[in-house]
Amino acid sequence: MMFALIGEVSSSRFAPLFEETGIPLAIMGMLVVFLALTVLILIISAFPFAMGLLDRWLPVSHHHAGKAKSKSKPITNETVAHDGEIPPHILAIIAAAVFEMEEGPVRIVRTRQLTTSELAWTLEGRIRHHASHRLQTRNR
Amino acid sequence: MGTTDFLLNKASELLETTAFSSLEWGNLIMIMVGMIFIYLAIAKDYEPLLLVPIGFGVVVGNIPAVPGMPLSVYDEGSVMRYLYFGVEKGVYPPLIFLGIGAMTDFSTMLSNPKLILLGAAAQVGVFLTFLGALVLGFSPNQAGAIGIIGGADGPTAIFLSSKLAPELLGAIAIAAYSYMALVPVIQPPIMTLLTTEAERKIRMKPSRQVSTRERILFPIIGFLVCTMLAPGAIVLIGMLFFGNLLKECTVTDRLAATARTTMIDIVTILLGFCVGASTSASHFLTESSILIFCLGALAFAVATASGVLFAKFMNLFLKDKINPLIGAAGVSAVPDSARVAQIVGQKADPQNFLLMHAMAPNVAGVIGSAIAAGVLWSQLAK
Repeated sequence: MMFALIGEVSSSRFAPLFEETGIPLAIMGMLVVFLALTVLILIISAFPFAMGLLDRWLPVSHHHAGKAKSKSKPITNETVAHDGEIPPHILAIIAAAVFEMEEGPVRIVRTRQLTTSELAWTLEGRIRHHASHRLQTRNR
Repeated sequence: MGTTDFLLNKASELLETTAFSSLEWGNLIMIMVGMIFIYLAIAKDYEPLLLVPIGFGVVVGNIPAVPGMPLSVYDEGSVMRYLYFGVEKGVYPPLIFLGIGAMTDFSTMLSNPKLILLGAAAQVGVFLTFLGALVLGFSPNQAGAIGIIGGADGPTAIFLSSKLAPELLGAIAIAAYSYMALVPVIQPPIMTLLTTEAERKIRMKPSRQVSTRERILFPIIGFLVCTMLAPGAIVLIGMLFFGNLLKECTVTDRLAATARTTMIDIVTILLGFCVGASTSASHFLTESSILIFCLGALAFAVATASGVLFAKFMNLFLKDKINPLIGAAGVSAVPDSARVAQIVGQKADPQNFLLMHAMAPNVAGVIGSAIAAGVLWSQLAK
């Protein structure tokens, strides 16, 4: 009788799981989440190819670039060697900095310019670093 | 009647018009909780932008009301009630999503789309907690609102609970934000337990650069795909992608700047304060609140574990391996869970930089949790 009672209690406790708004809903929910995000993955994966086609038919027009660049200094070959490359004097500074930090012989295998989003993280790091040096007011 | 009796009588009448006369132990406990939140925010720097408004709101919400005066968020006609309207009717969360969209950079996700699956895997926490809440005797609507705590997304949790279980809103919001603040404490042990030293040292390839055109097209296409499959997510996802379009389209800088600074700050203040003020002891100190806190912890742990384990599963098929630690960032909690992945990864290899890679599942988690909320809302609100 006791076993029957335990069985009854546990079955009543777990009963909501087997209703429409139980396990079936949970499985359907996970499927929808995975399906939506998988479709997104497929579309995003096709972006590079689609952008290539789009650029051929609809070339990017820089109609906002003129206003922003009007006051900036002209970019010389000294600052940026080629698109995406880092000029030699900056490379020398990077090498010196790495040598100083690592305290030993090092070989720099690859360098690259940071993207806009990566620069945002660097900026955030700098802000946090500077914020950590709060001036303490002393009561004298 | 002598002067003394008269003064005593007046003093007793005066006492009855103060809050002391109806102050209960529950109120004192909740005021202490509010003060702990404020302390954690100011002294320990735990999510201060959220915990200070919530903490102060908790203190305000637990000053006992004087009979006959509409003061609290539950009293018809009170000022607090009007402010609380935005929480009760789910107005504030979509506005916060607009601001989040205007802040979010989807380019890491666009450059490595397979990492989006980690954001989906972490939603297992939502649905397992939903089932757990059903077993513990909550109604399906309440279980859905509790389960979404596992999405680690405060505005989503508030939005869904305001729609499905308004009576649990205070407890769910406090649980969601508390665990979000505790992400650096909850996640690392689970991540370390489920990964080997070698796995934590995996270095991932740098991602490709994403063009402006891709970044502009993504919010439009992303919105269409997500809302066609889960129309319930239209409010949250719509505002998220709209905010992102404002940011990326390069011609609405002023709108994007307002959405990600002034607007989101104002809404965060109102949301946090009102949620805190809704936790009066009589509504909050109940057995169900304790259960919600336990289920919330379970939801976070399961979501973290699911993300990490799914990353390990993906590694079985991938040539370029994923560091499984970034799977933990699939629980949204932007950007704290990504930071945790970076910190835990750097403990194993100080030269390994996982932050940008972890941001991909992190923002995918935001989309995933909004879709999960949309599914639960559309199915349970019938």
